[in-house]
Amino acid sequence: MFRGTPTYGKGEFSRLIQERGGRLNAFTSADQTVYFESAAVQHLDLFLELEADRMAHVMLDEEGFLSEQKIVMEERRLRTADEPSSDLWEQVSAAAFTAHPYGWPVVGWMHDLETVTLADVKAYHQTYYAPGNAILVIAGDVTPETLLPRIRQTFGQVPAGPAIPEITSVEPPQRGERRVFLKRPASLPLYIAGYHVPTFNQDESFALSIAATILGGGRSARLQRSLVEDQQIALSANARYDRTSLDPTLFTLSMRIAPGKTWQAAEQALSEEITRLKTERVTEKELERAKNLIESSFTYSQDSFFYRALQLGQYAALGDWSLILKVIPGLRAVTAEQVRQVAQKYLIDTNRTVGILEPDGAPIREVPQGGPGRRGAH
Amino acid sequence: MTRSLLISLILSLGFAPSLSAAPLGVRTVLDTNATLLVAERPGLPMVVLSMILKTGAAIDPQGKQGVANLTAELLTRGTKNYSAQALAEELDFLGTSLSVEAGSDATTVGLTTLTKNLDRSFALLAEVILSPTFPQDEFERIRKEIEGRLHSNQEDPGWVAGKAFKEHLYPQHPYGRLISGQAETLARITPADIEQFHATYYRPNNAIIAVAGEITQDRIGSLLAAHFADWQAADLPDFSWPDPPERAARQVNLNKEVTQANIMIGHSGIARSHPDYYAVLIMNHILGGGGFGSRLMDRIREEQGYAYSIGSYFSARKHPGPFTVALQTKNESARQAIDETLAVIRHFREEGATEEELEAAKAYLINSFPLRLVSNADVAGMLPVLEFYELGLDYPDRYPGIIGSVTLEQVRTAAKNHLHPDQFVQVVVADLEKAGLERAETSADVSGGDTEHTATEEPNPAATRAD
Repeated sequence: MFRGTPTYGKGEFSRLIQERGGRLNAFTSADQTVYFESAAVQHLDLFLELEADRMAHVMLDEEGFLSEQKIVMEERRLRTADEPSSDLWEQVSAAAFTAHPYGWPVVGWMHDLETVTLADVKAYHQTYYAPGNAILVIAGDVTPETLLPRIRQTFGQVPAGPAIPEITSVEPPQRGERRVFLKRPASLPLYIAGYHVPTFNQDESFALSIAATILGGGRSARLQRSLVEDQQIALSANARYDRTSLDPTLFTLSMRIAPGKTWQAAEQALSEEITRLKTERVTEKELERAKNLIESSFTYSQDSFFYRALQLGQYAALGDWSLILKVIPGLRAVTAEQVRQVAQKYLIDTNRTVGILEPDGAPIREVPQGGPGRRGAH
Repeated sequence: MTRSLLISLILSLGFAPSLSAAPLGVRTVLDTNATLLVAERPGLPMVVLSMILKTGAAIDPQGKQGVANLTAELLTRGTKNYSAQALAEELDFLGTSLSVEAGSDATTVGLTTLTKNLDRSFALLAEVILSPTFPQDEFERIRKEIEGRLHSNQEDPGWVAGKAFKEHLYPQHPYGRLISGQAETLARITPADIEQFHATYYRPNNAIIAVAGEITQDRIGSLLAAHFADWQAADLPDFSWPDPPERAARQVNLNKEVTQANIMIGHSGIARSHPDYYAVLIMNHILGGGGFGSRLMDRIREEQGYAYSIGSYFSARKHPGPFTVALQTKNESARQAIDETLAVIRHFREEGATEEELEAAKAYLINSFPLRLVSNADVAGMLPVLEFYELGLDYPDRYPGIIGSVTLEQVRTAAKNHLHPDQFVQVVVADLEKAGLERAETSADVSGGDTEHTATEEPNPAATRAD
């Protein structure tokens, strides 16, 4: 999308924005592809013009395709192949989702990157890059009244596009624990447990957010205290849950195992924390602490226009930007009993996929070399 | 098709603050000789504080590298009135984030709080700065944790390359050492070292305190009076910096089982106070600091598809920090990518930048500057830096004039004077056979006691070429 259009040739897009002090980039997640620019407000018209132009008219040619294909393969090597933890996360997702495309890595499997064609890319662009499938978010010193006419002049001129094929895949309920083992050179074992859970469209998402914060949020989180500080069985321990995922996602608990400890022992310690959450109600003080943590970080995130825009876009993608207004009241209303209930319902062994990275050799293995005076493989 | 830079940009959407001549904040020197910088920014109900202590890991005693960092990590692990766990709970209950991080030249303390919790957050900040107790069990645990992280980092080829790079650029110099120290230096540190470091350097006369957000000058004054009244100034020991080591070309190839060659090329650069700083900033922006549109990115990524990202960077610190070019490419294309990178740099050094490139770089730097000062966190982060490098709080207003006055000739001269391909240190962490990189007969262990590295050094071929 940065390779130019008939109106703005190769390199023009970046040049025009950077000259104005603007920043630009893009990223892809499982649910969305996001393009963004930021600069002083007087340049907004140019952004609208450039984005609408490339949405409709980007030139996708063989030369540009081949170059980008190589670049994305380097991205995959950089972020996954040579990074043991990413490698394991990818394996866990692939095992946890048997039917739903969340099982595929966002960057793509290497073989798919090698075999994808320009025609595939063109077809994808034809289908998905149209105003009918886009959400435009603008944050800053602007008003809708003055903006709308300008948006109509730019994006309004681009055809709405075809109906978007729906993702009909539904992940069937998991009936039994899955375990994946990854053996490769790495420093320390890594352990991930992913549990299938609902997303924002169910009220339980608020209790799940609180559960994730109690286990893994802030300095006083239970996993940090118990596994990292008291038992010193993990070097780090985290809990993650993204309530803005479009389809049901994974609630994940992960640990980097401490030197000299085993993942089996860490798993046992983790299991005790999960049991505790399922059996004992959290105290009102701990519940309040989790809510305060989430609410304050929400306030802090408003300090940046970029994150404001990003958050609005995420909730708009869920159906309506104003859903964001339900977040704090929803979290505030969660009770200790509801936290226990979601833990009992979802944090169960038959609903989880466990991934274990077992280091095979040195952190990064020496390449075996023959000949006298050479050091061999470890 | 989507591309996103490895080097994360600081992002903010929206508007530039109005171009007024008002300085970024108000500066006061307190009775204790602490410098206070305040930016009153009503709006969001939050306050960000950023305190710089003008001492970092560079001052760590020889053989005990890691003291500054260990002190920073232990500061929140127990105080006179709070155990580590009680402090953690109280901070979380307030939704206050508190961080202490040692750098090479300085240590930074960060506090982000809701306005309604200002008083309690300041009380905790004062506990941490004034009354840490450094309990023995926490000392042992955190030291072990740092050792564990060091071990963990070894699986990251970029970290391995970066460590070798700084060691070869700065032998026998603070900038060549890891801020965290290493296992053998950590083992020599005692709690008494930590207590002494804290008692010596965590002093108001060594501090720059910046505050931005929903707060007034009066309020910050009374908060400091209420919580920091016992913070006493004290003489600081002299520390004489060694000169940066002589630049010397060398090639370090570490043979590892990886799919990508991690490549770092460079030499020691300039200090922040160097008169050529702005010409170098622009020069480097054009070469490889400017991301998309820079010469290295255009050639190595866009044209050749060798790398997902490539960048060049002058780390201008109190003392001359490194100039670094970094990229990653599949083992098989390592040699070509290195050759192309060196060719781009040499050509740039010989021919200089064009008028068009100069204007584009200036336009970007000048017009993007206001976007670096949009949020409270931005402003609280910038203020102490302006003080630390003695740039003045009117720097944002002067910046366009400073950048605007740099000439093409100055940029060309900066390229000649500050890029030295014949003195490049070149570190490659790769599967050397696949990368087609030769190993010399003499191999030396250069990684400071880490015997897992097999290093091969040979004179940089660049040294023999006409330059």
